[in-house]
Amino acid sequence: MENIDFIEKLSNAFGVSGDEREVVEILKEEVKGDVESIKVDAMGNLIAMKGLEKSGFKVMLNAHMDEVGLIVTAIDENGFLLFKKVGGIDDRVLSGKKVIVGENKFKGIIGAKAIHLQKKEEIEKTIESDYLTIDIGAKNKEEAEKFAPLGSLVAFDTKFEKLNDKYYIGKAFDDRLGCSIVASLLKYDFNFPIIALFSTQEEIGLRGAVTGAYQYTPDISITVEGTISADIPEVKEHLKCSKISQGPVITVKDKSVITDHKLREKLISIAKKENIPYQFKQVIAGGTDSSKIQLTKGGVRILTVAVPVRYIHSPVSLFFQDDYENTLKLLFKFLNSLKEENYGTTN
Amino acid sequence: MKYNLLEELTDISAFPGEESKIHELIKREISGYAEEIKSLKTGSMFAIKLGTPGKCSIMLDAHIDEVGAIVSGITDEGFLRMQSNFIDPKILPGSIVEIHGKQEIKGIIGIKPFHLTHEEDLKKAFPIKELFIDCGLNKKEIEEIVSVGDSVTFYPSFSKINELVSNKALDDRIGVYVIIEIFKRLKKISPIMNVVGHFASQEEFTTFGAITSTYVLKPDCAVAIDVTHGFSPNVSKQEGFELGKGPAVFIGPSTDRVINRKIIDTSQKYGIPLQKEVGILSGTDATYIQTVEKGVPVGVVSIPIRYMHTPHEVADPQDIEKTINLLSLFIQEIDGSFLEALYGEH
Repeated sequence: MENIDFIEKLSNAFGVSGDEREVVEILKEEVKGDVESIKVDAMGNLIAMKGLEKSGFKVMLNAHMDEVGLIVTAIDENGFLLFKKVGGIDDRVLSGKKVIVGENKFKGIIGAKAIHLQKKEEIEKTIESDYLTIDIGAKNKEEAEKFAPLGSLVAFDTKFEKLNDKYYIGKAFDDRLGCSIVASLLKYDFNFPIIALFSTQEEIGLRGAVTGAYQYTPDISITVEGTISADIPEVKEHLKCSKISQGPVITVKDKSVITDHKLREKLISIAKKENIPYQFKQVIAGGTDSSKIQLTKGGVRILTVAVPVRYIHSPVSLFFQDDYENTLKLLFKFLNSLKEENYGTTN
Repeated sequence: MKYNLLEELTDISAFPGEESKIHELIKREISGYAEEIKSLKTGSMFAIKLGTPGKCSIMLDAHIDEVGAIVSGITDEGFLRMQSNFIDPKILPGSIVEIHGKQEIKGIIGIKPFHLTHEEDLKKAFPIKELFIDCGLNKKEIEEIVSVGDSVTFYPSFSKINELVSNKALDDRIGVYVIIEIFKRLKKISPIMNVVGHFASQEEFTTFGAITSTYVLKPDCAVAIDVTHGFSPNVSKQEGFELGKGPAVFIGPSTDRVINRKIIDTSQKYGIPLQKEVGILSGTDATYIQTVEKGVPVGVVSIPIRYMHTPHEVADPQDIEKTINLLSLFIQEIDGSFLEALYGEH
């Protein structure tokens, strides 16, 4: 697949909410030849714009750069790190995982007590994250404080890999897949100005998008995501949210937003016309930056389109190549079809 | 310490019963340093360095198998179900595994997304029967590669954690590494006993390899080199040994006091730090070697590791080096009076 090296780089990058700098650098490098202006704002958002001389309505393409992770909150007397979660993570995926700690990129392990030492009732009980620790091999508290000062952010240490023919595994597909799709769309010229908002701090409350959209307010905004796919055993058909290999996931309503009916109808008509498979997000769960962008100033028409991803917010997630390509293709065709008179600033 | 060999040893996967995968590497490393090397039908292998006069033999034992799971079913969607009695299911969600089917394939163990999980369910630990492996293949595709009964092991991922090392299967490739390194020194030591390096199969299951090889090789005494629990949060200093403070000698009814004395004396004579692990039965091959035929005097020297039986076990290379030094010197120190004391006791 064409974009795969780029996706790999983005997936492997460190970008826990609050320190998205590494992702910013990768994206800057990728888009600099395709856009007229690149800015980083006070929230750390990366805003890239092109077609600014064009009149009429402005379209924002949005994806968030941050990923869920952990933050070091204390160090015990032996040099093990205690932490809090940054963003929504199920405590049950943490035990026994490898992580990257802090600006110095120290390798660490979230230690799991050997099964031999556990009592029966311990084996059957989840260990809450407050009782887990990260081992960075520090000899004592002082060394640990030097290697991983309080406030150090911690990401899962998972390398991007091809699982088989068309499946890929890695971390942070939510939302580096979106970042790569938005960056790819910037390679094309459309009939209207494009504002690409690569946002920060989405996972801790959709925070970066607020300031990004305030400064560069569009008429239309499309948030591109990697979203929940729960097509796994024992999940009832109507609760699967989305399914791998069934195409881009279009949100009607999630926990935070109802997407623009007119734009969504247009999007679906394009999918049908171009024979691109699509599916609706079938569970009202999760929220995206689009909900904040929608509320900006006098209001913005918004859409949310996503690549279905299994096991998001865990150390390793999975996506299917065709879903990615179809999402990119659908958005490209959709943008090409947009016309001022139908979707402009007045109606 | 050079990490390459330990990395190579721990990257190979060998579920109990599939140990032959690792024989080639051990052979490559040890062949210049032994008179005889042989693989056995049990999955164990051994190497012998003859001593002078070599009337008796000492067996150094480390096991080559590792923990994992077995595929117990394939769902209609193509996910694999598994069973295991070696591992804590709590560490599995979000991990990468290797499935040893007609070919080796990777899979990930995922759970229902956080967003869709009810709060009361978040406290419930998954029993292994509710977990599944996702290989990104449908039922038809996966059935061409994987069958029920195929083994599953943790995906290797060797790392240095500051000055420590981490990977799956440090239990007990560390022991294998120690024996190989001791063999490389035997020429200089010129021991009076024959030294048998034994690489045992199925320790994690029934100690099948150790029991049967002891019958075949009939060593006069044996030392098992395995791992023990390292101290970490949630593991008290009574339960686990501090890393970096040297190996631990096992003291209790399942080890021989003459051998223990010699190991302790050697450590003191040469100033090698040694910790003492006290218990009834050591959970190592030695406990079973001890009761073969008329009985074998055994010792156990263990290297402390953190997070045993997980994908990221952690050890201190200094402890590994100290174990190699200690046991090489122990062999060097073996003399007539030791043998006399050993057999005088029995």
